[in-house]
Amino acid sequence: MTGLLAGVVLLVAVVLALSAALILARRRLVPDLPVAVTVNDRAPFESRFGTDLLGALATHDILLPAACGGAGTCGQCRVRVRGEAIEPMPAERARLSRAERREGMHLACQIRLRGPVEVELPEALLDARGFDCTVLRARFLTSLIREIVLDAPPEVIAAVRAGAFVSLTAPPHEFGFDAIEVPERFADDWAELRGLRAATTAPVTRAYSIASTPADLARGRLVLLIRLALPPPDRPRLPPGAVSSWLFHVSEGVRIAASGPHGDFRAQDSAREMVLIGGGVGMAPLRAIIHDRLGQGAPPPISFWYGARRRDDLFYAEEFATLARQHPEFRFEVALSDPRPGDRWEGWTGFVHAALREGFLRDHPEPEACDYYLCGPPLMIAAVMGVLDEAGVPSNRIFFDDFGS
Amino acid sequence: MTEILLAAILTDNLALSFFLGICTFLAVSQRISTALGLGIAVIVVQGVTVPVNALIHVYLLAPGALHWIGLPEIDLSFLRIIVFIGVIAAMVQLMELLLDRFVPVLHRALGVFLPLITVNCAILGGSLFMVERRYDPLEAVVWGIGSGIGWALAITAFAAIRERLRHADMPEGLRGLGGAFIVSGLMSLGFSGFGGMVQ
Ligand SMILES: Cc1cc2nc3c(=O)[nH]c(=O)nc-3n(C[C@H](O)[C@H](O)[C@H](O)COP(=O)(O)OP(=O)(O)OC[C@H]3O[C@@H](n4cnc5c(N)ncnc54)[C@H](O)[C@@H]3O)c2cc1C
Ligand code: FES
Repeated sequence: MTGLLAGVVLLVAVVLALSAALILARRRLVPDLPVAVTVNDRAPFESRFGTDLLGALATHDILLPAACGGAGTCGQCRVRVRGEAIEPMPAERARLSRAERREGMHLACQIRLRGPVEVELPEALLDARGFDCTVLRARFLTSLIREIVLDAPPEVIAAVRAGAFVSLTAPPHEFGFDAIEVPERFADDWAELRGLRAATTAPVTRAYSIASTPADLARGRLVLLIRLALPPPDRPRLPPGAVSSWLFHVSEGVRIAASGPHGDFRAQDSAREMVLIGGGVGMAPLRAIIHDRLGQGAPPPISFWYGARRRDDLFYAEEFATLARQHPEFRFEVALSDPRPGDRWEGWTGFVHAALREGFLRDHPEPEACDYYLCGPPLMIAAVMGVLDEAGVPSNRIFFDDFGS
Repeated sequence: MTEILLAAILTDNLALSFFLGICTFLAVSQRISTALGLGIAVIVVQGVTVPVNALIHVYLLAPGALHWIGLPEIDLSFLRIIVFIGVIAAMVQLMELLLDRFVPVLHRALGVFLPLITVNCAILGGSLFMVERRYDPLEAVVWGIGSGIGWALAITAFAAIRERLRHADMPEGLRGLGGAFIVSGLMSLGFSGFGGMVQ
């Protein structure tokens, strides 16, 4: 009996002593102290010791883009930390170049507040805010690309620069792809997708570039181009993309939680000739930039090279052809990599980088004096980078948005 | 004392002679810096838990240990494992707090392998060997720190070899874990050469 009692007493005493030691240690090491955070040259605000910088900024309405939700994988939540260097976390080593790290760039989601910090952010990001918008219109442009038109509050519209993007949050949802309304002409393409199901139990946020023209913006409209993210061909059992599926499902009148505008992909303030190269939904920011530039009057020469597989994958082609007729300084070229006989295609055949090389770089007197804007699938970007490099274009003349892939 | 120290580091090396703590040994040995960081953490954890457990064993748990409060007939040694693990768990948590506060990069790099050393067999093994070999508290300090150093030495050397091997021309199938197993086997063979050194 005494043995049992002694055992119980001893065990309780040991556990109590250990817990007490830990509580004391925690109080010393993780004090509940206020920490001052200064953004650019504004008045500092107070946050708590140990919170992450991304969250601390968000509670003060500074919404950095964060497609991965703080996991350190999207690399979007960049900030520059002033003052004493903080050693980069493993995730930061993977996402930031050596030069960026030397300049004090960090991922806000990886920084835990341990003392006062001063961070630098592009002023444009400070204009980003959370807002609700309504789907005004949604239509299929190709079998896997949907155009969605949203209304947005005037202060958001006013902050949009051509090339920017917004973050949209899909609420928890679950539906089968048979519930998606598909126009008759794409019914065949969709037959095999009908069995897919999209589901998520938590809200998910993703970035989408704004394709609005100045006229769209003047009417308060954000135009987005959504490409449905299907499971990779070699792993068809994986679920389809969470947010893009949901955006294929939403109908007119649905409210969407958003934040933005974000991003620093935009036209340079220069009089250099502009060359824009895109594929797929890479169209979105390029369309915004082209309309914006052509609307400013007396723009430098602009050419737009767009790559698609076949005629069915082309959209907005009429619009750009019309623009080209109206603006002699604008040139629009399309390359189809795999035209069908029925397409009666007479333009460039092959990949867009080859068309660019043959139709532009080879005969241009000074390819290194132009600005290049690239947006599209990673493979396309890599191929175009290759031909630009061959033509002697320095990398500081090339601007690209690979949509975080 | 020197014998215990040398045995702890070389002949009885927990990783390479007993193959204890091998999960962490394989998982956290991709880079020297991380391996060294974990090695130091293990030295500290081992250096604290083994002596503390030795005190607990001698004054509370061993048969007759409680005679100092007049209960010589009581034997609480059946509580050994649960108490030892409790001490280790608290120590590892403290280590987590310390690293998170002062070496956050290492803390992030170790990830889940830091809390996992709570149930690492090398750590509990250190304390259990101490009991089995009847070390007194002073010897326990030497054994604890020594076995920690031995484990740290093993994982750091192993990580150094693996870092070099990344640039070696190895058959496809042996890259990664396959090669790592072979290397740890060879290192163990090497360590067995210390065999006759300590009686
Ligand atoms: C700055 C920026 C601008 C962007 N602009 C646009 C734009 O204008 N238009 C546009 O369409 N997109 C754009 N994107 C991309 C967009 O943000 C999303 O990444 C894209 O829509 C996919 O998101 P999702 O939630 O639908 O897919 P996710 O759920 O993120 O899935 C992505 C892919 O992974 C697959 N997958 C699912 N589960 C797994 C698993 N367990 N293992 C491996 N694979 C899995 C899915 O099938 C899918 O193919 C932009 C991105 C950035 C960063
Ligand atoms: S939020 Fe994605 S990297 Fe920080």
